[in-house]
Amino acid sequence: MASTVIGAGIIIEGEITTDEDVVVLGTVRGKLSAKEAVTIQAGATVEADVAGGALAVAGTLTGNITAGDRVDLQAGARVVGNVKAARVTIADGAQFKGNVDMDV
Amino acid sequence: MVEGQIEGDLTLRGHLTVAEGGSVSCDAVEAESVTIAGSLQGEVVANGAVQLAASARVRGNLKGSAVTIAEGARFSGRLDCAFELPQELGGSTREARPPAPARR
Repeated sequence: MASTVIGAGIIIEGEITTDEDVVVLGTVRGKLSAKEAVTIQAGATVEADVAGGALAVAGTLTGNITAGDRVDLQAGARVVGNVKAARVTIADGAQFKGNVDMDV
Repeated sequence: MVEGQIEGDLTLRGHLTVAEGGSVSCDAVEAESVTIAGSLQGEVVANGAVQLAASARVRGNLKGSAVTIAEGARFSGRLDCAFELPQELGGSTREARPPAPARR
């Protein structure tokens, strides 16, 4: 499936809603809602509540995360916020502060 | 290493392992580092790393220098590890806290 890429030099303030996969390399402030996969890559900065099907985070994120399927915090990820998903993994090298709720 | 069941508080200087099938139910667990493959209910405070293996079932608050959650682990509660965030995201998550009491 085609994916929406928010490039490294882009700063978006506001609300993003999409049915496609989203890959974030730049900066997003506000709200990000996707139905499919959301990937926040290393170097990206997200200051937003994020909703998606499956979320992979390697960058910096402050905000609440809700995923229909799963959330993976990868090495290098720095996340402050609450995570709600049926499956959550936190890799060695990821830093996280907040609540985890897997009772979905 | 806990392979059976423990009810009550645990305080140790070394590494605590709750093996698969082991069960700990307590108000507070303090250890240098903690690996959980069994079930645990309560609050965990570690100086070092806290690792939840795939078979872990944990309900409570975890505090450590680094926390990892493996695929398949079930966790509900709060995770707390202090780290630096970029300035634009509010700087440090480290709260000002009084100096630690001298070690006995």
